[in-house]
This record gives sequence, structure tokens and C-alpha cells, in this order.
Amino acid sequence: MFIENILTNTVMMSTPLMIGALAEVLVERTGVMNIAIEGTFLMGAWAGFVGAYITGSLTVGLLSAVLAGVLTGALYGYITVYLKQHQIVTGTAINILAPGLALYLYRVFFGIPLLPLQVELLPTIPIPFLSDLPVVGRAFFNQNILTYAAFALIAAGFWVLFKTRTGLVIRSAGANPEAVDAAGINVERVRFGTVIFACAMDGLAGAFYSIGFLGLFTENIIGGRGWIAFAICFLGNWNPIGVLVGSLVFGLADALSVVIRTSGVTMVPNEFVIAIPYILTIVATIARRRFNVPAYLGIPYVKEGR
Amino acid sequence: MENGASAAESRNVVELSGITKYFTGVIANDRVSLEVRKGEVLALLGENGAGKSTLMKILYGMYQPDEGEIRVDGRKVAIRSPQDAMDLGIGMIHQHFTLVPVHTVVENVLLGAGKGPKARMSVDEASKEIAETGEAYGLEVDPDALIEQLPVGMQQRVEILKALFRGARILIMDEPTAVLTPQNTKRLFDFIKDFTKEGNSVVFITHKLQEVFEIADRIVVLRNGKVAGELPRDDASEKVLARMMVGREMEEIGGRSAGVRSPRKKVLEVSGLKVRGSRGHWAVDGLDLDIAAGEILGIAGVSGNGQEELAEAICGLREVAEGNIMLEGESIPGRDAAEIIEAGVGYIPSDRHREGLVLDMSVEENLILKRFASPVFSNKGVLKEKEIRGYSKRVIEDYSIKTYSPTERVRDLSGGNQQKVVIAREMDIARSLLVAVQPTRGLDLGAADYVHRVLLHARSEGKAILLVSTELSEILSLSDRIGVIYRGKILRFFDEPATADIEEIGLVMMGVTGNGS
Repeated sequence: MFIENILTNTVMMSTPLMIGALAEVLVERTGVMNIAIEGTFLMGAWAGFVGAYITGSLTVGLLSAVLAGVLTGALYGYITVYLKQHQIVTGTAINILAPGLALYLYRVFFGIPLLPLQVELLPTIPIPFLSDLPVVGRAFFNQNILTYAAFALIAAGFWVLFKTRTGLVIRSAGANPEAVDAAGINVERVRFGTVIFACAMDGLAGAFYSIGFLGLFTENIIGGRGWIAFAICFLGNWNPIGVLVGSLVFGLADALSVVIRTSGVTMVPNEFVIAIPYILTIVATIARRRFNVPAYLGIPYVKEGR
Repeated sequence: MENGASAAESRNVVELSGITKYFTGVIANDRVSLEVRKGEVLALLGENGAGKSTLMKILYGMYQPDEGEIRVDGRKVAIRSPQDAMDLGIGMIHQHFTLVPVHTVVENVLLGAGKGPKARMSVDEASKEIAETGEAYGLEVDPDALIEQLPVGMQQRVEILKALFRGARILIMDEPTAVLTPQNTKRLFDFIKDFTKEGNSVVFITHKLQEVFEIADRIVVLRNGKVAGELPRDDASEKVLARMMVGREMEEIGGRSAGVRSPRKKVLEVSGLKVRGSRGHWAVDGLDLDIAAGEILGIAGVSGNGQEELAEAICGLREVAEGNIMLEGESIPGRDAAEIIEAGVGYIPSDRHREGLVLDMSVEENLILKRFASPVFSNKGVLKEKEIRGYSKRVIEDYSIKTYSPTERVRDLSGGNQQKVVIAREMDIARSLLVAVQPTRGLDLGAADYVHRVLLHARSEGKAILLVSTELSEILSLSDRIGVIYRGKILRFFDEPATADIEEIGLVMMGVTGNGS
């Protein structure tokens, strides 16, 4: 029972991390370091909640979250890919902008409610038979739509990245954009398109927290999990399989801290459990010798020509 | 059936007429016209900066011509991008490869297909075709190998295969042998012969004369952006080509006084020097030279023969692998750049923007860039603003640097004035030796003339000067002695520049030693 609980929580908490980290893998493979991920998560969480609350439809909520991601991505992509401004500085600006904007817009819509407004959660969708399996049944086959989507996206991401021509172009854009250019393919278009797509995914990941997990919106709802997704991309070595593993590890830590908090165990300070993933990140970064960092990560592509 | 018909039935596949290209006021190609015929190897010969690469980048769609027109198969075409060029069957092998190092051969070939018809081919189909093409032309390479694990010669093959996969029938090769070993060069030439035998064409850009005789059917020589001559290989001789490349007219630099070359007070002695280049090869490969006080030693040579590495080794910016450098009797290797500056060696680097200046800092800051720690300009780590300002004003006056204030950003100065800032600083440092690499590169005539006069003045003050330039005219008019560098060695010294035979120097620059002394 305890194991089942932990496992179920782990899979649930790793859902948005999988989606966000996979998005980051795609975009960083083209050479753009999307550091606006935390802010984009938040915009997704906000839009998902507002869309669902106003219309009463969770589907509209999900679509609004995607739209918010696309808009944030368009802003970030336009500034970094076309105007070639600094990616970190631009991303940081968006991350600072997002909480203020989200809170402001929340109040524009709803004023300052006494109790936080709530929406119902995305329903869990049990898969017939499989969800009855012992131990793993509930964890893997009785989750909401976003969890299933996350696993599907990981598989699709792997396939696209390594088995298709689109993936080849994406990987080449970050490893040597000049080669892409020489092939007559527009590097800026590849990068901008991928930023938009990745940010749409980030929006969905953010919506998980508002309409898939808590059923409400606060401006600190993401609480640094965008950064964790960002770190998982790095730890997962820019590979969807690595993202899967990394997300589950961080999901486990998240789940453990929830369980420990609610079970009244005082042996291990809760803060320590929360800190585990971060300690892990640092250890893994030091221990790992070779990362396949995309060679042109973070560097705007400026066409040669005197 | 195609064999032997090349001379009789020569159809032009490409015609360039009146191509002119300016780069911010500098003319790179000046009404160049030439044609490429079906089934031939056309050698495009010329010194660095003669406009060969620019012309071919225009044909490949990387640059747009300011004037002139291009015809392919007799039809007038506008080539706006490499994509357009490839669609017309024109492929280019750049000096610097456009491969993704962490990807496999087949992935690179597929990427190179761009939006062409073959871009959708599967990895297996593409691998098969690569293997077949490789076998047909002797360009075998493992389709699944990672580029970064292949030697340079193999990487070049991949570039060629990329172009062939895309359907190139006119291949432009920009100095393809520069990175190859002699054996690989031979294989490349075999490929070129096979390829053109089938009715394809190759434009071969080079500055090496021997290669021209080995591979070309026809030769076009460019000089200063213009066509200096065109002739079939059989009518060409090394002398004729060298004269066409270098040109006879040499500008006279006036006001040259006799040197104060003190008989044999040697300032710099370099012996058996070996230095590695950035690709790990021996850029300087057993080089000897010496310079006396009050003497300008000019190093002539085609760029990329070890000049920059030599200069950097002397200035402590590149590690000396073997051999020795003696400055006024003291050994330099092992000392760092700061100590060498302290010892009185000034350095005018070839790329002033990258190495000589901090463009976003002020004129005065750039003037003291290498000496801010000296007690003249700072006291316990605090800059002495008054002294610096006074010094700067004096220098600006002395060298007539055109700036409205010592605090103006160097970026906002003209190229000539930027170079004056570098020269003023280095002249003050160079108590015994000045190393000047391409000191007039990119400068207009007036500014270049000023630089020349400053160098001659330094010589009359008894400084030793190492002048590296790819402009032979500059070397000839300034130097007391000339050393010709080729592949990291001084092949020959000419002691009397005034009476030296230009054609002979040109030949040595190409690595032809012949029956020289």
C-alpha cells in the first residue's frame, strides 16, 4: 500500500517534469537555451486555470495553457532568434515578468477573492484491466490525460529526434548551424518553430499544477519546478530517455516529501528530502564527465556575409 | 565516347560576365568575366585577397554581385542562395567544412540534401547510395562513421559526397589540398579526373603553381580583383603565371633613408624553431632567422605558411615546441607575454580588432592596455588618471590620431586611426624589437603610407623589425632583407631587395626552389 502510494505520487509528480524537460531537450538541441521555462510554466498554469474556470471546461483550460505557452514562446523566440538578443537575459526578464503579469491578470478577472477560487481536477482515466494490476496498476494506468500524454510525448520525442529528418535538422541546428544553412535550410525558422512548440509543451506542463494537481492558481504555484525541468534536460544529456529517468527521480523526491510531511515522521527533516533532488543535480553534474552539450547552445546564429 | 572530345566540343556550362563586387567601398571583384566549360578543370589562380573566393561565393549564391550577370547552360540566372546554386547543379567544397561533427556521415549527407528531392530518402537508401558513389569514384567512406572521428581527408570526402548526392555537376573547390597529405591529394586529383571525364566540370581555386600544372585544363589568374590572364595549361609556364599573379608594377614608397643597420649587432636570433598551429600540425617547422638592430627583415609568403605562429611564438603567445629564440642574447621560450613586453618587444597583430584593441574601451585605455601596471600609470593598483591623460594627449598629438577626445571609444575611430592607436602603444613598448604582422591590412593608401613611414622611422632609431606581410610590394619596398616563408620554413633569403627578381621571389613563395642559390 505504502509502495503503491509512493509510486503513484511519483508518476504523477514527474508528469510536468517530463513534458517540460522534453520540451527543453528539443529546443536546446536547436541551440536555444530556453531559460524562460519557469515563466512559461507559470503562464500555462494561469491560463489553464482561467480558461477552465471561466468556461467550466477543462479542455478549454488545456487549450488556453497551450496558447499561453505559444504566446510566451513567440515573445522569447522573436527576441532571441530574430533580434539575436542574449538568451539568458531575455529569459530572466520573462521569468520576472510572468508572476507579476499572472497575478495582475488574475486580479483583473477575479478581484481578490477571500478564498482561492477552485476548479475541478482533470479526471483520472483508468485503463481497463491494466489499472487493476497490483502495485503498478494505479501508478501507471490510473492517471489523468496529461500523464499519459507525457509518456507518449517522450516516445514520440525520441522517435522524431533520432529517426526522422525533422530531428536531424533540429539536432544539426544546435551542433553546427552553418551546416544547416549550407544545406539551404533556414536556421532561424528551425529555431523559432522549435521554441514555439517547446513553449506550448511548457504551457501544458504548467497547467498540470493548476488544473491537474491543485485545482487552483497562486502566483508561486510552480515553485521552481520549471528550473528542475531545466536541470533534468541537462542531467538527461539532452536525450528523451534521460528525461524519463531524471523526471521519475525528481518525481520520487517530490512524492517522498509529500508522504513524509503527511505521515508525521520526524526522523528525517522534510527540508532535507526536498533538497535531495538538488543535491543529486550537483553530484551528477560533477560526477559526469562527458555531456553532449549542443555545441552552439546559447549562441545566436548570425549568417556569414561581410 | 566522351573521351578526347573535350577540346573539340567545348560547351560553356557557366558564364560569368562583368561581375563586380564591393565590400564597404573596397572592390573585391572588378568586372570579372570567365566561363567554365563542360568536362574541364578550370584553375582559378591568384594571391590571397585576389578575389578568387569572393567570385566563387557569388557563383554559389553566398554573396550577391553588385554588377554583372551569370549564365548557366546559356540561360541567365539569379543565384540568391546556395539552395539556388545546388538546384542548378553547382556544388562547393569550402576550405572550412560545413559538417556536423557529432553526426554520422549519412546524417550529414542527408542534411546536405536540404530541401532537395533526395532529402526524404531513408537512412538505409542513402547509405547504399553513398557506398555506391564512393566506390565509383574511389571516395569510400563508412556511412555510419561519426564525422569527428574521421581524419580531415575523409571529412573532405564527405563534403564531396554531399555535393554529389545533391546532384552537383559543377564542383567548386576552394583550396582543397590545403588540408591534405600528398597521398590524399593524389586521390583527390584522381577523383577530379574521373569526375570531369564524365562531362562534369570543376573549378579549382588555388595559389599553388604545381597543382595547376597537374590538374588544370585551363587557367584563369586573378589579381587585385581583376582577371590578369587566361590561358590553356599547355601554354603556361611557372614564370608566366608567377608574373601574372604578383604583377610587375610595384608602388614606390618614398622618403626611404639608408638604414643604420649596425653591422652585426643581432637583436633577434631564431634557430630551429618548431611551433604547432591550432590544428596541431607543425605550423613553424624548423625555422631560422636573425635580425640586426636597425634592420627590417621582411617575411614574404602566402598566408597560412606559419607567419602568424612565428610572430606569436616570439611574443610569448604560443608555445615553442622546439628550438630557441634569443632576444639580445637572452632566451625567450618559457617566458610569458608580460615578461617579453617588459623586455622590449612590441607586437602589431594582424587582426587588430581581435588581438590589438578592446573596441569598447577608450583611446587612452587602449593606449596603456599593456602597461597599466607600470608605476608610470598606476600606484598600488589605482590608475593615475592625470598621468594617463597627459600621456594619451601627447601620443595622440605625436601620431596625429584623429579623435575628439582621449575618452572616445576606439570602435568609433576609422580603421587607420585604430591602427595608429595600436602602433603608438607598441612603438613605446618596442625598445628593441617590433613584430609587425600585416600592419597595413585593410587600410587605405594614406593610412598605409603613414604606417610605412613609422616603420622606417623606427628602423632609423635602431630598432629591429620583423615585418610579415602577404603584400609583396610592401615587403620589397620596406625591407633590408627578405626571407621567403613556405610551410613553416624560410626557404630562401634575398639580401638585396632592390635588385631581387620578383618572379623568383614569387616562385619561392609557391614552394619552387628550383636552381636557386
